Amino acid sequence: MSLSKELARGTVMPIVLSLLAERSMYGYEIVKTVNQRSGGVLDFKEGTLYPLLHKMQGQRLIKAKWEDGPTGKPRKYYALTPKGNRLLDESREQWSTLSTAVHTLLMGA
Amino acid sequence: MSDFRDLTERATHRLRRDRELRLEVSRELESHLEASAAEYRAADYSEEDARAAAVKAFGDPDDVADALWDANRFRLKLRAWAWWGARATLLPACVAAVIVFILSGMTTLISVNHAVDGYEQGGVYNQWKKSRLQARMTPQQRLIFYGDEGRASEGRAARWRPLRDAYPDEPLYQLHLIAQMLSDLFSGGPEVLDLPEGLEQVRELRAELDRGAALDPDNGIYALIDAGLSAKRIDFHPDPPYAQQGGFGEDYPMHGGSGYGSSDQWGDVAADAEHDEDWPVAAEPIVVMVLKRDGDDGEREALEIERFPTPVDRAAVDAALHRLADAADHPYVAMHAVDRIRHRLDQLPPPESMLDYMIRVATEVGTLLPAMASSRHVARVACAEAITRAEAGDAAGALAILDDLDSVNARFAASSDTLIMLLVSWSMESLERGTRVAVWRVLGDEQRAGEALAESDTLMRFWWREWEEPKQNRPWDAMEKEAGLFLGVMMPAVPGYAVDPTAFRKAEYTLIDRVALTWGLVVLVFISALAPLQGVWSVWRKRDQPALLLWMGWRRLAWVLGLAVGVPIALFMVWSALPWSGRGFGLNYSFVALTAYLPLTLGVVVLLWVLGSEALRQRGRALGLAVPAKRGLRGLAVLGLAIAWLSATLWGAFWWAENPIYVTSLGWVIAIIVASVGATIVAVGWIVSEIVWLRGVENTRDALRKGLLVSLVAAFAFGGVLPVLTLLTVDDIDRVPFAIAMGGVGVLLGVVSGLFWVAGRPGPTSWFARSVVRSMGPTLGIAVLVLALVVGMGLNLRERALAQRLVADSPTFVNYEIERSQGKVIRAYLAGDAARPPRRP
Repeated sequence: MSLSKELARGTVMPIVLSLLAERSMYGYEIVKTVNQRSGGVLDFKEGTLYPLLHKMQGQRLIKAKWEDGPTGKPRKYYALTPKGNRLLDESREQWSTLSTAVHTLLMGA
Repeated sequence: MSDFRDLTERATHRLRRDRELRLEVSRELESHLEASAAEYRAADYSEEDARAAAVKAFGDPDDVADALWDANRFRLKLRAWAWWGARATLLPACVAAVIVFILSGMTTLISVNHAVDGYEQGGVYNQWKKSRLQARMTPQQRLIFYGDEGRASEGRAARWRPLRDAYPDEPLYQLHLIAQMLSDLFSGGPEVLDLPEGLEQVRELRAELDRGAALDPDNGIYALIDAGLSAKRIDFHPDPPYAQQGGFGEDYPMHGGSGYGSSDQWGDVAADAEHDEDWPVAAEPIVVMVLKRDGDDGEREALEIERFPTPVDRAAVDAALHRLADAADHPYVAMHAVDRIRHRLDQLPPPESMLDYMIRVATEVGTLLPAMASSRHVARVACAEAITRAEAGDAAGALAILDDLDSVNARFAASSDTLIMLLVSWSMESLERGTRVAVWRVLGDEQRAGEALAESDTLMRFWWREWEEPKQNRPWDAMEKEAGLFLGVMMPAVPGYAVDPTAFRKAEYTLIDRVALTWGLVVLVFISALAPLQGVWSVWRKRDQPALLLWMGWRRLAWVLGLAVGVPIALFMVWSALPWSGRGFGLNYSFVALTAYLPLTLGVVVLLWVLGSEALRQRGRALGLAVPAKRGLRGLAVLGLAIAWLSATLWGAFWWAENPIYVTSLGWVIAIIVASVGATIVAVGWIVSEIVWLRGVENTRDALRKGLLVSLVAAFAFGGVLPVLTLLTVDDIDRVPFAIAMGGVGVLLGVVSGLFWVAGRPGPTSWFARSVVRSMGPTLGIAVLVLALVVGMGLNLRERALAQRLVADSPTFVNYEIERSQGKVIRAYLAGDAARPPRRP
């Protein structure tokens, strides 16, 4: 099952922030990790990740640095900034509130 | 080329305005696609299927292109503005900084050289400084310090009369006006006294003297000046030979006086006088006596009295003697020269630079020189008249004249604030004592003559003991070296001169540091202006990959500037504090100190290139450019050794040239040769290591063949032409170190030009090489601005602090001469019981 585009769009940024809170990652690594951990549910077109990363970089949520990868080729690694970290905390709190409310409404618990 | 280049080109085509950003994004996308394809291959996809799967997973490149443009839109604008802003402002700002430094550094140096002329020399910049200084003063302060500048062309008196008129009851301004009138009167020589306009000026001057005497009734200077006007008309010679000797040579000081000298010399004066039938005035020069001294111990060898025919203007003599006696009746005889200097300098705001300090020195000299009046003429006329009266048998009259002279001289000595006034006083005293011997001999009283001679000898021995011997026993060399340019001509010549020259010396080095900084900035601006030409060259030669403007990033830039600029300057400061740097000596003796600037400049330029190009190499590598391998330590070690060798050879060459017993031009020639060899080694070491690095190791022979020759030719062309131009345009011995320095600059420019040319040649890493050269422009430009702002401002603040320290240390420079030297003892001896005049205002 894959999510609708509208539903996925609002979740990608917090997910990327969440991954980068763990460690610095390069673009392909982020895509693979998302796909892996979501079990394919959040399978988005890989090329769309980079505009998002650049946008987040422009908003100072993440920062980028070229470093040599394991093969010796340089890769562009992204890392969370303090501002991104704050936004991640807010997103987690909002998502928790939202998911509880939506779950209550949809599942009638 | 990457297999995904077509895809990435499509995905990034909307970023094409910013070539570096587009390359970076392309490189990132390619890296992604390669990783993706590699994973598919690992999952047993064929090569073609793996690529296709990676492309499919990536998504529609046109959608990505739109999204990338949208995400980077603000960044694109920002970078575009930044680049255009940098292009429009960086180079002009650098050029402006250099021009400001050239104007401030060089004109200050020139002005210091022409200290007496002060702001009047040095052109537009000095005039601007003067207007800034005046803007900080009230109209009253400007009038006191400058007088009425609008009337300066009419003469000194016209310039200063408005000040007196504004404050008619202030004796100091009255005295200042009189001093300026005296200066005007005799600016064309004493002959003016026989011309109608001169006589008119004398009439005006005498009116002002009467006015001054009424304002300041205790001061006998007005009467003495009046006596001088009469005496000067009697006692002058168009070209007196003693004026050339000046009184500071082998003989006793005379200061134009006729007291002590060699008999041959005075014979010439007499012969001139006798044969000059066109003598412009009625009187002829009067020479009273000659004292020969014996060699080195100050003891008298013989006293010879000579009397030359002197058809004297009796009325003038009587007038002079009358006014001399009048002066002797006053409590003090003071020109208040230092008081006038101090009062004028008090009007100035605190100095901001050494130029401001030098204008104070110039003011002192300008105030001092007209203050000499004509005391020595009075003394000569009085002594001649005393002998004349003795010959007529008028013993009382002769001795009365000498007593008056003695009395006035004691008062004049007591009021002496400057060395030159004290020496005039000494000259008058020695003349008066010698004449007393002559008078008693003429009167036939050998016993009194013997007593007078003993007194004269006592004075001579006192002088010898308190002035000549201490002067001769001073460590001249060491003092001159330590005193520096400002005090080097003064300190050793004035016995007991107790002035700490440290602040003066530091000020000298601050000035020369500013000049050196200017020199370094010129080099950097020249190179940074060359760098963008590489981009133009790429476009003109229609290279497939025109030079990129690589941006190393702020953090790397800070590191590069810190290491390339901060470290060499910090090392230079440490070196400057060490005794071997030569900075313990003034610039008048320590050319060694100047040699440190060359390795400093070389070090900054070399490190900027090496570290800057390494930072750009990392950036180029990230962007996927073909870049050379990281520099080996061997190349850097060779470069470091070459610079160290150059520094050592330069230092050694200068040291050798300064320290042998005979400093000959041969020494300088050898210094130049040795330094040139050192510079050549640096040039070759640099070129070889950099060309090999830029072109890639596999192309060493090719790179050397193509690059070494042109670099060396350019290096020696610049390195040869600049010293020759320097030698042709700079005067004096200074041109040798200047020529060497310019040779070093020339070699550097030649090497850099060669490197830039090499970078433009086709080859495996040529895109990177061209891009490095082009991108070094902004880096060097920022380095120029950092240097100008941080180091330049630092030096300016230091110079200001030193200038203010010098002013605070002593309100006037000439105060040093007597108050802090053996002059105090001489003054006390000559003044006897005479009281010091009260300070004014």
